[in-house]
Amino acid sequence: MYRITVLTWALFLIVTASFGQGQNPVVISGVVQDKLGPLKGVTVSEKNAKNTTTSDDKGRFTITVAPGSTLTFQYIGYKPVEHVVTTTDDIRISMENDNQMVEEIVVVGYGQQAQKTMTGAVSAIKGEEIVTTKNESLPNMLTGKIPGLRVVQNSAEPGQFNNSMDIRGLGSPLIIIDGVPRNNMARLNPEDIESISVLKDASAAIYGVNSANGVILITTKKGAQGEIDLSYSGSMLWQRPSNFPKLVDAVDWMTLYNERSSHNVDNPTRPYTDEQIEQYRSGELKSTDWVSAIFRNSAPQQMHTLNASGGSDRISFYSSLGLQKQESFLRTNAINYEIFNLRSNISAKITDNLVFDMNLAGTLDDRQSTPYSSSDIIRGMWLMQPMDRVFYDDEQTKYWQPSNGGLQNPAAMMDSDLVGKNEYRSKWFQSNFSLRYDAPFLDGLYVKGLYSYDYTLNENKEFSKAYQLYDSGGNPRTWNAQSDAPNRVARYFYGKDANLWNVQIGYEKQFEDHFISSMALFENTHREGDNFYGSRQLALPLDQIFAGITDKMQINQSVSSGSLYDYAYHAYVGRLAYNYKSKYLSEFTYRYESSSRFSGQSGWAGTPAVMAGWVISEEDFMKNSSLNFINLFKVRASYGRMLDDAATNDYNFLTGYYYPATGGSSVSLPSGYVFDGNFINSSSDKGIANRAITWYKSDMFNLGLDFDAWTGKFGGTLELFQRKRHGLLATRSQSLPGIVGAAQPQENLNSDLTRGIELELYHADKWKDLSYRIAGNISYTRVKTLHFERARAGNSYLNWRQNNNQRYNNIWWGYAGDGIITDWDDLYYNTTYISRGSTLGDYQYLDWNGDGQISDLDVHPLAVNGMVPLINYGITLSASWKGIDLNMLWQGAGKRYFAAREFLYQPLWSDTNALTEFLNRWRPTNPEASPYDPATEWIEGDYAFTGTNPNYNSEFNIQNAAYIRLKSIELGYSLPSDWLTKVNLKKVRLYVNAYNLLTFTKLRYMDPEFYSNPDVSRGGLGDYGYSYPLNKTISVGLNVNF
Amino acid sequence: MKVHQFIYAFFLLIVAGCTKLDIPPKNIISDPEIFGTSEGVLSYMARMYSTLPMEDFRYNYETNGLFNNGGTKYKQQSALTGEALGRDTQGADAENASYWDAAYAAIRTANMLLETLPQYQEFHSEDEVKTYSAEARFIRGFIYYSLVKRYGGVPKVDMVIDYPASVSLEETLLPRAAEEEIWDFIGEDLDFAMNNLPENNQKGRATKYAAAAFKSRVMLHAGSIAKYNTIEEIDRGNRICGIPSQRATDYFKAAYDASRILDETTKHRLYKDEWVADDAEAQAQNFTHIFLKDTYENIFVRYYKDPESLHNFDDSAQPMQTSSGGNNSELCPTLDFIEMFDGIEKDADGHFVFLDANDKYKLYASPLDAFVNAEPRLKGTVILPMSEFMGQTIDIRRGIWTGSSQNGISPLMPAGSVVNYTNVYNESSPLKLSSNFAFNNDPGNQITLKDGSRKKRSGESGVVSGWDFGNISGFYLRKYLNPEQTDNNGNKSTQSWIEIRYAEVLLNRAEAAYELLTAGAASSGGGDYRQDAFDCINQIRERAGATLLVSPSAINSIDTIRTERRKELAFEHKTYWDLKRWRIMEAEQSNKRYRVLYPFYSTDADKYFLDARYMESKGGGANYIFNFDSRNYYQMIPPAEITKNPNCRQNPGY
Repeated sequence: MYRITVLTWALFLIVTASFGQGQNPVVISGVVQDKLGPLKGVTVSEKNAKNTTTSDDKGRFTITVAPGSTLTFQYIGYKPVEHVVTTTDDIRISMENDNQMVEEIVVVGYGQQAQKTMTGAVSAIKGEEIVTTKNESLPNMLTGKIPGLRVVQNSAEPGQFNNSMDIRGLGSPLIIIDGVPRNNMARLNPEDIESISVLKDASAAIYGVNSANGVILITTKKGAQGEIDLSYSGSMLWQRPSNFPKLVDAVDWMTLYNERSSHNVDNPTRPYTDEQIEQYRSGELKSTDWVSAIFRNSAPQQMHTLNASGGSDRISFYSSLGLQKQESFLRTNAINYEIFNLRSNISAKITDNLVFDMNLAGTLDDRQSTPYSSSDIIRGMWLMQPMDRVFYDDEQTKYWQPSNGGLQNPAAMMDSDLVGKNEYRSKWFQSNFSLRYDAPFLDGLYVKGLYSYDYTLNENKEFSKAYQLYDSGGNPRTWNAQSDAPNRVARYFYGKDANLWNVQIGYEKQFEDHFISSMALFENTHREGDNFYGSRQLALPLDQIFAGITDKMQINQSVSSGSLYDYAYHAYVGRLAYNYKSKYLSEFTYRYESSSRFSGQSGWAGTPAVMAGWVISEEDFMKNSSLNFINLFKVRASYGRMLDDAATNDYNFLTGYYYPATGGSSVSLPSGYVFDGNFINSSSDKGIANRAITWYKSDMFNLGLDFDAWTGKFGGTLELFQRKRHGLLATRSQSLPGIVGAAQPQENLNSDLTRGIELELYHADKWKDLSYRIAGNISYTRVKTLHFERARAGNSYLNWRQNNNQRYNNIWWGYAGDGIITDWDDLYYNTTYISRGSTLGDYQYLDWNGDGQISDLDVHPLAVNGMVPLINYGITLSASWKGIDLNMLWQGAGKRYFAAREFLYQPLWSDTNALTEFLNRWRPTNPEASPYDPATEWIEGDYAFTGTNPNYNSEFNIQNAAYIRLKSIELGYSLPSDWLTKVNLKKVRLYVNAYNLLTFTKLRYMDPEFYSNPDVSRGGLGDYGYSYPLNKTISVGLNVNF
Repeated sequence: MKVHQFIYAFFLLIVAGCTKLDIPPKNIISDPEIFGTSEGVLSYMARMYSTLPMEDFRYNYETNGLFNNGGTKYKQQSALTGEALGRDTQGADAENASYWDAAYAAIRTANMLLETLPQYQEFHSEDEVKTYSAEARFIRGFIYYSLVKRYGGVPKVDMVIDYPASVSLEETLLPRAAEEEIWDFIGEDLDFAMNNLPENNQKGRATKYAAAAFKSRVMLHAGSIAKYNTIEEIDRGNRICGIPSQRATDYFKAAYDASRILDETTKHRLYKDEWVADDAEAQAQNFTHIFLKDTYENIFVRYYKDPESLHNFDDSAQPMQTSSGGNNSELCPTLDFIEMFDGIEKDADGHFVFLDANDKYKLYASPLDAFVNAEPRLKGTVILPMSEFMGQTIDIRRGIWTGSSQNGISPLMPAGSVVNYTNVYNESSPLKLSSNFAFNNDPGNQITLKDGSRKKRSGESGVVSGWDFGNISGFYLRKYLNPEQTDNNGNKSTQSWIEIRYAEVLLNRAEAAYELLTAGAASSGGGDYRQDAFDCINQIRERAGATLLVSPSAINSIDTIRTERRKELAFEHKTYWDLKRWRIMEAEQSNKRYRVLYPFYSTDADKYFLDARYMESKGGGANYIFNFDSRNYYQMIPPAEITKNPNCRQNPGY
């Protein structure tokens, strides 16, 4: 299948490339360069004529002009150069850096702006800075690179893209790809990305009812004029689990078990005899190393991109083909992922004033797994006792049934031939068509239209088989991933359509000192989602629906708001920007929007934003002072109102019914009732409607400062922000009595405040052949609850414990530690109550309220909880010397805490396994000595004697997960060009790259980024260490330009 | 010019594509679809019936979702009444969860139908509208019955509380109505239902007779409260707990009259299709089949269907040895319960006789021999040790006596002992016991018999001393257990729950008649209440295979009627409320230990003996001593509700 697609693509390349033909009398060619070397992308045009070209990688250009005409060379940040054509010989043009015009162009909402005159808090990153990190997921490649963008990778499971990403701690941001809201950011081919802009403040308000959490704008590459550039980049990666705990062997297991049994003041026992332990110690019996039974040492991954770009003065194109495969750590590779990306961006100048753009992108992906999730298998791996075997028989045909009858053998669970297979396939088709007309009659006036159509299809298949495990007596025991069926196949289909179009009229002109830019736009969005699924039990072990039996057959549809929906939005958008001498800057934007989700209810909503800036460095007093080494010094402020309607998915303003009734199951409040022997689905009332419900409002205020000194050698940005949200949904359920018979509807009641600071600094220089740049950023954000709807607390203590109003979020309440009991006097004469089972090495808690006992009243704020660290920072270092380039990203986070549960927290939890870390414990020197005998000699350790577990919410269990790590490092070497010309290659670069290579953290035995969810408000679950681990990768790669 | 046309066309095309914003939600259904179509109303009905608070197989007094609990039933209501012992019911628990918010949500659903359906009358026939409305009132009455029997007078909500549109939050804070007012309100709803429901309806839905039969239950309950309750609580001039005693006769009369409505039809009568006179086997089988076949005795039934609607009764009550995994043995009938039945040798106190004249154990070839003459209904209700179930002999045995039997075997423990055997006997004693099943099933621990064969110490189903599973009383439950359900691990069961059957109507009628008789009330229609009660009880006893009462004069104590009721309706989740409404729960469960009957095997005699005794305590110290707290006659209103609604007064004692 891939082969056919490749052929089609190649054909397409050839056709589009053939547009680039043209002819004219005089051909001029030459090289453009600056002090450092050739300049790429310089616009070369014939003065007073229409032909234009740009210089290529080596600064070369070729243009056909009338003899004797004047050529102009223009390049952003450089002084323009004019050259009169006299001969047809190669010409050499030197351009000079114009310090006054470091004119970086940044993509912003519905347009572009010069960085220098920008007033919003927008951070931008170029494609080439993104790809220095090699990872399967785009968000992971942005980690640490953009101030205020917080990315935590929770797992490296192939195809799951399990990340937490937000801007400034604001929540899930809106992702706009090529001007259209789209949700496949993680699956984009990073090689296709031209730039990413992150709108962090009021500049996002232009996106209206979905903008409250900030906006990420992704722009894909376009072709440049010039000869066709064909390039390949690819890498092979080897993944290893990052910071992964180890399990004890049978000898240690039995020792710990005996310790735990002897750690009982009333009835100490030693269940395992020395002979039993000796059997394993001597090698007579072998303990199973479950980690290596399930995980392999390294798992391969590969990424390839082939792209072509180029064009003539009339048409240019960029097209690419990307392929990525990621295998899992599982020995059977039962979980694996493959993605295929195709993109074609074409830009055509239909007439001098009319430009047509078409972007087409397609993505196919395929994730495979067994009917058991990775966490089922990994949980099995952690929980197996070392005495359990993988196989029952020596021929390894029958899997072992673990001695704990509640568990299944993880080796069997990952054997697709045995248990079945799930396959998740998705297809994205995304298209943009736009037309821009620049009015010839009025300079600066344009009209633009955009139409986009996207389609997403998810088709999943779940196939599970019944299978047998064999216990120590050889008796088979049947298991099944699906509790109700021996063999079952289910198919799921989800289709999603999105239509968006907008028309825009704009006027932009510089009148001497005055610059005006204005724009008005109307946008229509329509999105629909539909789905269905069907399942059958199978008569034959064949994974097809047709092979099933009709009994217990199911066909149905999901009615969740993310699967079955039909939404439309209308929006009017306006922007007006004005600046005087690029010194006094101002901008105003407004979006006026309505959506079907609020149709006829709360009508239209406006999201205004105002921004202003003052470029002090443009003032004469500064230019003429001794501070004139500062090229840029700008202060700016912005304020805007943004909205969010995500919380109102369920049409709370309407009464109605759910059919079939939701919330129950076949065994507890089924979704229907049996009348006359038939199961009749029921309809249940949705509850009370709140006709006044509306989107919540988010008021964002931002203060910023940008500076640059010594012409780009040193500079930075400082941002301070504050966001106040009001109208967050909450119910007054505390006060409506049960006799009303319905839950109170959600109302716009709660509010919160987010404040933070971001700092970014950079330094770049060049020393002989060595040029380098170092940049660092750090951000800190904290959310405070302003109002939280709640019932009055019964007393002032409860009020202190429970009332979160005017209090920072993410407070972790717990017990402070008071050291470890190290001598018997501590036990005998302790000022607090100590239970009689205590012994040396036990944890002591701080009697915080001094009442002589440790109780819930000693609980007080200890740490912060939450998924994302409050402090995030990154340092990038890039350097090049001759053909060698180095890129390094150090990234870190602070103010994040982690508390383990189950087997990570307690050795032999529920009689399962133990981590080797727990061997570092207090224990009697003589394993047979009583732990309660004061004469017993002890070996000290970090953990208490086996059998004593720390309180979950105490300092003994809450660990600081702050870290700094070498997120990525890349070392590249470009082969000298004189070698390459012989083999007709433009450029060859070889590199090695590593991801998560080094990590420095105090966190024991886990990766600090690992999925961790100690947030009690979210059920306090999840954090058991059963998720798929993060990966550490080493890769070698190649970039070739043909 | 071509280009301009192109531009115009492009812009026109997209502007024409402007989407209307008035898009109704795709995943939500509105009133016309529900009330304007028969299918819609039926789906609404399905919801009302599915939330109807029947104490059925899914009922679990311990956890949230009282009436629709899908979890493992570690605790069964019948283990609260002394009918059975449950491993996990270690004393006289009260309902741990409250039925309040869910009750009023269901009441709102019924009220909403009553208010909305008239707006859509034109889409249905007159009869349909009548039936739907009558069902809604039947259901509303059913829900209020569930409330009033728990809490006494509760706030009376007979319309949809239209908050926030037309009622302020303060106006929703309704006080409790007088208990009497609620009972009367239920009476009105049921009268409406009785007068408007058809005689036949879809199976699973209410009929005229379901309403009448249910009314007899409700009114009998109200009469009992009026007569026996002594708790009085007044709020705002309303007696929220208790009914003035002078109203007792009204309610008993209403119960009696309602039960007589069943006389109008032959549709419902006692199931006797497999009953053969003087054939105990057939009579026992007839009795078990009432609960497994969909018989004409049933008046109101909840049906289940695989895979949409399932329960796990077979999982919970299953004998250990026929369990296919999951839970088992949560209902082990007590000796106290067994002793209510006829045909067992009993002493003057009504206690099972297990010792001979020399105070030695009676020896039996099989424990079943002690029950040869027992009334067939007992065999239809419980599994006796060594009887057949699901093709297996249910092997219940506490241990093996390896000592001599030459001069008889003396009682293992002194009479009235509450001490475990293991406290007296150890491994070197002639009494061989098993601490757990791992030990019991290990061939190495088996006992060699005289003939050289080996035998497990305890039976396949226990009893073992350190029990986590297995039998604990010497008996298992037979009623409702489905022998076809060989795969009974978890929620696999689909047998129907019989909420009301004809036998109950007869028992209601007999009880109401006797109460009216003792109150000296004049009988309506000239019948004789004593004679009527006698006829009802004898109908029941005949079908049960019990000894018939000789003459109406044998109806000389309310206990005759009550005991009959407790035997006939045992394990149908009625007894708990009977004991409460008769206000005898406190007397029955005052420092109460229930008695069990453990079979033992003597190797020397090659015979069994049965040891009747108080239940052994469970490892960990649970002694299974039952003490009913009399404040539980009126249960606690959820404190959250009291907090939210200050006008709602809490019941006394909480």
